[in-house]
Amino acid sequence: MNKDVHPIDTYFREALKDHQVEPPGSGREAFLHEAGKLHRAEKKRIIWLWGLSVFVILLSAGILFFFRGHHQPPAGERPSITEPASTKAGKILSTVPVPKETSGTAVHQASGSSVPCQPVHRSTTCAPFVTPSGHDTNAASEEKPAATSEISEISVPASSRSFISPSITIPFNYFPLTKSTLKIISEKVAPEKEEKKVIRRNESGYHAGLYFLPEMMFNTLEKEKFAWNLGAEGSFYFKEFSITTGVGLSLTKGTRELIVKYNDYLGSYSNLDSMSFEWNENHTQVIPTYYMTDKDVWDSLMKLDYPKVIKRYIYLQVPLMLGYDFWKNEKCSFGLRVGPVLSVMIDSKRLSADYDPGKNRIIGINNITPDRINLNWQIAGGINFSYLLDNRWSLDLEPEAKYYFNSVYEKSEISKKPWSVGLKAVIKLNIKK
Amino acid sequence: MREQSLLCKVVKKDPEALKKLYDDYAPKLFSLCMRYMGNRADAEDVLHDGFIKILENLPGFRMGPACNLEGWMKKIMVNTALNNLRQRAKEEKLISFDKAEGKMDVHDEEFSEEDAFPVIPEKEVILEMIGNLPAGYRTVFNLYVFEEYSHREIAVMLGCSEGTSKSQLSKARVMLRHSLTSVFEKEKRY
Repeated sequence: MNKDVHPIDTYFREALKDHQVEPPGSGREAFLHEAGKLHRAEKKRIIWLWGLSVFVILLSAGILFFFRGHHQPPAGERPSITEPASTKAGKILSTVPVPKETSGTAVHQASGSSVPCQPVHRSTTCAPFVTPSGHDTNAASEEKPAATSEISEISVPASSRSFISPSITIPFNYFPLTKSTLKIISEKVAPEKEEKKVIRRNESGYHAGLYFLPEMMFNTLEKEKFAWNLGAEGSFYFKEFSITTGVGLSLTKGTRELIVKYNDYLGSYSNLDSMSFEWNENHTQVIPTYYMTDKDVWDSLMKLDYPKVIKRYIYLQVPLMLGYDFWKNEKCSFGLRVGPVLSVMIDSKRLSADYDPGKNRIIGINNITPDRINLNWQIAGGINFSYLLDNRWSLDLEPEAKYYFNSVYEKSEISKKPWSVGLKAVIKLNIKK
Repeated sequence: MREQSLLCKVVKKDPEALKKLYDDYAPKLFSLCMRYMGNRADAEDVLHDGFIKILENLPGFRMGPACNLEGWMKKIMVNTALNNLRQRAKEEKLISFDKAEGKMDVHDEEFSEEDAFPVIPEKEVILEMIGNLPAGYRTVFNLYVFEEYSHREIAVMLGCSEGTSKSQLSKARVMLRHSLTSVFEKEKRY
């Protein structure tokens, strides 16, 4: 694009070509200070992201672990092997691994009678020795024999062991098990141990619990800041829905910056207030008496100091969270929790020592950081993961985020509203079954 | 190459590299800020804000033949200055590009080569002349003459019409010409 070339433009452009103005040194210091703060904030953010990633990975791993642990079908429900066996005993024995500790499996026939087998070691060649009464071998041979490779474990009732010799190899033809008649249940002996305690999640009921929630706040005057929340809560569950409320305390530290105007102390001198003279006849002279007071001297130049006061603030928090569990099984559940939280400041305590001006003369003290607000509202939302420890106790983990509807300061210079992220841990007691 | 290694260190927030970056570029950028803001105090604020923006955006900067660091930094500084001026305009209603037109009854005079001034006065005097322009004139003059934007681009940047941009530039030129003339007349007298 052609621009009109004007002599004034050219003149000024030439005049200020490569012009440089040395900026003040304080600007450089301020920039380096700000860069340092940025660097620290960046580091913190990276640490938090890493922490969050590790947490998500651990949580995912935990969920996977629970799924795998709880979704295996019970041993009694495993499918029976009904394939026919047609191969000879020697072949069977070479292909069937029999663990040392295996006590055996029960072999059932269609009639319901159990066929005893010898518990074997790996090196022992054996086959079940069967003498079923009234067994029709001809009829059995017509049926398709079961595939022996499917046989995994063989159990024998203790009372039947006397029928079996460990050293005798018997052709499998003597063991006429067919597709229709053979049923192998591959469960270990000790049925009483396998009866697991069944924990079931109730459809509805009341829970009472204690929670702990570390929280990190953003968009505050003090940059990132931690708050520690703890309290008690009660929930009512109805199917997938829940409503939770409670009372908690939120503890947070705040740094208030002050601006102190003062005059420097320069020293003191003795000021002569008055003097009197007395005639001493013994010495024939006048003896003076001086009346003096110490006077302090301060510089007339006003100076500024920026002390910081650390305070602890305690807030009372009342949440009202509505929940929906979008997935649940007998022990675990996943759900959403959303609701408002009311925070009321109930106490503030100074943690740092009072500002000591020494002998300097204080002209005035003003706040740079505004006071904390007494009441504010937040909206909180999170993903809840609940795990039933037993029929009465459960543990909840809830990564959550909060958005503050108003600033935590009375006169905030930050136009953006604060927000926070945290991880809530709740231990709950099921009150009503 | 030297700039590249400096940038790598600055991105890592190496204090020495930060100092070097500031020392190398701050004087040129401060001159730019002075041109836009018209006074030293405001220019210092813009320089500080601009440098922080540069620092924040530096990881995304890619050095190349079409993209040099100084030009990129100048652009950020110009944008910071414009934002600052806009903010002031909102808060204090100091600048209104259209209103500023009517403030001065200046006519777009024709310039000839004879008007060329033989001697360039001190650079500080020149800077002061630009600084004395009303904010609207000054901004358009800077963008057009020093940053070499077209009137269309300036109109988009400032949210005004092309015609406004042209008229502001024209009036800025007239005012600067008067300032120059008075400076030279003073010099002639002495």
